[in-house]
Amino acid sequence: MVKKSTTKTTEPDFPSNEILMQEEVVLNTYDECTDYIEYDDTKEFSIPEYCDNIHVAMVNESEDKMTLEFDITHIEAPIANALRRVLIAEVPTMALEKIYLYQNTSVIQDEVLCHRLGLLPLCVDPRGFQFPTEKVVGINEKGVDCDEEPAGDATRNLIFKINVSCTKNRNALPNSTDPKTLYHHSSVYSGSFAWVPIGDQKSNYTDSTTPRMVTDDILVAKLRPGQEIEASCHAVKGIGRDHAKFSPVATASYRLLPTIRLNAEITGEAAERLKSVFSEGVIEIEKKGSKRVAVVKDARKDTCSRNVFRHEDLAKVVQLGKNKQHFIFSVESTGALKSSELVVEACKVMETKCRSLRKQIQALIK
Amino acid sequence: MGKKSEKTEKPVEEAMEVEEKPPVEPEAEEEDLNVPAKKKMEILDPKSFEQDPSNLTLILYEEDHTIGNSIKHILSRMDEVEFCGYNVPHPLEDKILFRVQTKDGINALEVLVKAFESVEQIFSTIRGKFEESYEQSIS
Repeated sequence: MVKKSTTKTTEPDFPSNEILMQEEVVLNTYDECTDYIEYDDTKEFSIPEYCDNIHVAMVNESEDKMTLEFDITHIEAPIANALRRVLIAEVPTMALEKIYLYQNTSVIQDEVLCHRLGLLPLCVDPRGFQFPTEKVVGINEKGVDCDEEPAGDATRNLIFKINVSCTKNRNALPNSTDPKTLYHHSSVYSGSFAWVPIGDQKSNYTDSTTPRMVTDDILVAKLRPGQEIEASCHAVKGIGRDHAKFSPVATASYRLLPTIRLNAEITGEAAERLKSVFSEGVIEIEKKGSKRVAVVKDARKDTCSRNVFRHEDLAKVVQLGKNKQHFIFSVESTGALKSSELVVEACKVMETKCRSLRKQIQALIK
Repeated sequence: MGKKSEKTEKPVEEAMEVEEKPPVEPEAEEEDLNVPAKKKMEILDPKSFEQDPSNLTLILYEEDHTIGNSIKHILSRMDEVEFCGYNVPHPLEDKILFRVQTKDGINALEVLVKAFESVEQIFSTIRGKFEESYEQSIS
């Protein structure tokens, strides 16, 4: 990587810290030698100064605190992307890992059922747990799964039990055809799992923080009279890098803040048209004396469809861009931790990662 | 019959021993990191590195673009660095190669230590500012 100041701009008077979006091409992207915005080569790069410039602002949070949108400005894609990747793959959560199936006479096969159970999101704070001691738990030296269910380690495991059997409903109306009224437990939901504390685990939780499934209405299997599922499920702590079931987020993504410039006054019919080619709320029409003038109300809402360039007259006066240093993050938690906690955890993961690697490098120097 | 069965058993035992060995080797020690760590890094061609400590290729096991790209990002702005880059040799091998070329007489490992410090600092800043801004938003 050769260092070079990026002073070249694609268009005169277009800011170098923005990506320029044209009808068929995107210009001013990161195709220079570094990802940094135009900088002075003669000045030394200072980390404290870089850190001072970083700015974080909350945009909105859902009522259940599981979805969060926030802005980070004055960082570049490698830093933003590291945060996103850590959120998806390296923040730990608990998930069912070992299923001890005592009975499964349902039509769904053992391995398929066990896989389904593993994917159920658990509502447990993983920070109180330790990682399993071995990567593959419960396989003995002959490569065979253990013959008997282990007791479970209070600091590493959580045990959930499920025991559902389907029976006929004798009180059902003779002409009814709905399985829900004909049978008891014709559908098995995630709510049928009962947490069984190991040792004194119960003392670690209050009523509101009792380990449970995030939602009780996830359909796990369907049964018919005579069929039953009985299993003991052991949850372990893991990261999304190992298996997606450990990923704490449904989505964690970022996008750049769109910018819209109107280089001429757009009035009347054209203003209405301009408003209609953007997403709702992006362009509004204001009264200016007798004229009705289009103004950019909220560029953040733009989907960057570039639909405006299909109108020849509008394309000449509208300039679309994206701010390269303004990242709009959107984090959607699966339920174990609040989104805001996840972001904090992700930063911590990155910090410990750097610290431990740094120590190992220092050990190499000696 | 008895002898025959003995003969057939032996190769099976041997084969199993061979299978067992590889996973044992890398799992040497554990660290109190969030991920149970094994041997995490290695210098590629340590002899040539000893001769010229400004030229380093470091293998980082169980790391990916998350660390690779963010460290590269910081290194590329450091004055001591002539060239830096990383590469994922194969998607199925869980490792990255990190290449650093520093200016004459500067130890590449020391520069790398500085880069890791910087990235740690950046993320602790982001965390601090995030917490602060979140506190404000809910109050």
